[in-house]
Amino acid sequence: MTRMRFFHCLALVAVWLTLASGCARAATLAVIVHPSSGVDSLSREETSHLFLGRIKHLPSGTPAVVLDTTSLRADFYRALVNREMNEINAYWARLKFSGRTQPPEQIEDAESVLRRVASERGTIGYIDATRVDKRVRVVLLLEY
Amino acid sequence: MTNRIFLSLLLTLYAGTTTAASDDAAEPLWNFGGFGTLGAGYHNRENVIYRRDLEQAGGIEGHKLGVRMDSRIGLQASASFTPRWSTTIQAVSRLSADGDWKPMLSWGFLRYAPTDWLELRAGRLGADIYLEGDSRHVGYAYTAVRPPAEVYGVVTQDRFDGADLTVRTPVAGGLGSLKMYGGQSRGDFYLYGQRVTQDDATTLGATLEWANDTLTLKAAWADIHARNDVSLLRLRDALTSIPLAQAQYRASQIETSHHITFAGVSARYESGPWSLQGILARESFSQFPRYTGWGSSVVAGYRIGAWKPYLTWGRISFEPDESALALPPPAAALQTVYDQVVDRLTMNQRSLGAGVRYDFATNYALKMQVEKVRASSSSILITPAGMPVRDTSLTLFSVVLDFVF
Repeated sequence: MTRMRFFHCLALVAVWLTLASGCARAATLAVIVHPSSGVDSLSREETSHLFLGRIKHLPSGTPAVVLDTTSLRADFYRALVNREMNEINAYWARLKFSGRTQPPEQIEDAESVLRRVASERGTIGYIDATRVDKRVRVVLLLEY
Repeated sequence: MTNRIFLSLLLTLYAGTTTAASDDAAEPLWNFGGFGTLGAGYHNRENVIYRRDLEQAGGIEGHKLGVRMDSRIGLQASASFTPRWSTTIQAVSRLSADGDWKPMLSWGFLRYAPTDWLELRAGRLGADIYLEGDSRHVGYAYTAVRPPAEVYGVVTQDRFDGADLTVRTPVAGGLGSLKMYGGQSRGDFYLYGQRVTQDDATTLGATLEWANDTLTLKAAWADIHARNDVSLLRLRDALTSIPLAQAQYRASQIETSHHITFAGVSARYESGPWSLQGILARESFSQFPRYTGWGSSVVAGYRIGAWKPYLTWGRISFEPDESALALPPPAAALQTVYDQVVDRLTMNQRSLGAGVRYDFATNYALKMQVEKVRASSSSILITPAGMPVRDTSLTLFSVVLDFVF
């Protein structure tokens, strides 16, 4: 009996650990735009074109202002294009100093990104999905 | 002087642009930044100077620590006047063909991009032949210490004053682009102890590129056409004076007009910790006796946190066409000159290297690299007198600090 209780406890701990690690891994980033941007959703490909500077307009034709959330940058680019930050920085050095384009504007915290996206029509950024509210529209979810 | 003319032109264009586009944006958005490399190198071959390209009047001398070859600094200002109009001005100071550090205008253009699918630029531009950005100066953008000398070391007239037009389209899950460009060539090279500049040369080129998140494929073609290169006219006159049919024939092959042509295909793969890139380029120089050859390079790296160990391999083979000539004994001196001219750009050089890139802070990378270079003939490697080197090998150690700001 004692032994069964022990195995039950062990099983519960195992389930709890699995769920806990599962929850930790299932954190989600939300790519957000202004509700009147004319964009309902973006594919992963369209999103990477925008955040890697290949295109500069939202699919609706609105000129895009792309924002990086500094604290989430590494997770975002790993989730979006499977590249580490050092590679992304080198990538931007290539583009910036060959006169092609400028990197996204760096914004320190998610709240500021949320505020900017909520107030400027062409702005696109990313925040933790749990912080999304009705001032912005989610166009892509990325798990990391 | 040319730089000043261009800056004036850009300012004039800028004035026109702000007027024309004033309804789109009130204030231009300026960005300032720069990049640089502090580099040191050492090799073990006496009387050989290692250069990274033909432009440099010097490099790393044998058994001496050299800091001039890889070191450089660049400053850039760019402004967006509207979403459609922008400008970029960039100057780079590096060891030049004059052996000094006089800054050159590397970029200085006005850009008009009415949509994502069309872009027009005019001003000082770069030939789009590089896989990692249209520049050989931004060390931070490269995995290895420097661009492969065996491919890009011989193409130093990579600036031009003119225009380029790029059209893009989504294709096969990525973005495809076609760029066409042309203008007045800019750039020098240093050979036989002197700087060579071809002011009248024109550049034409086209690049086809496709990129998605992990793969970039590029096919690039560029042609530099010089119309009035008189450097071999004395040889032509001397050969004409020899009463020998073969000498007359060789003299008739010497022209003042010639082409330097680059046609390359390249690929870069980046995913997770892996990065792999390779390029194969056909290069030719149509001046007598006409040289053709291949340059190729592979760089493979694997990132482990802040560290990225890598391997490099490069090879160039650049050979003259058949041009045998046997002059009579009284013309022995002319024979010597002729043989030197025929052989003046022959290159057979290969390198194999290993290194590590250490991104110890954001926007800073420290790289350490060792490479074995073997050359049966090379114009990139020179003697202290500036002459090409034959039958040599050396081990080159390099340490550089690359940064952007």
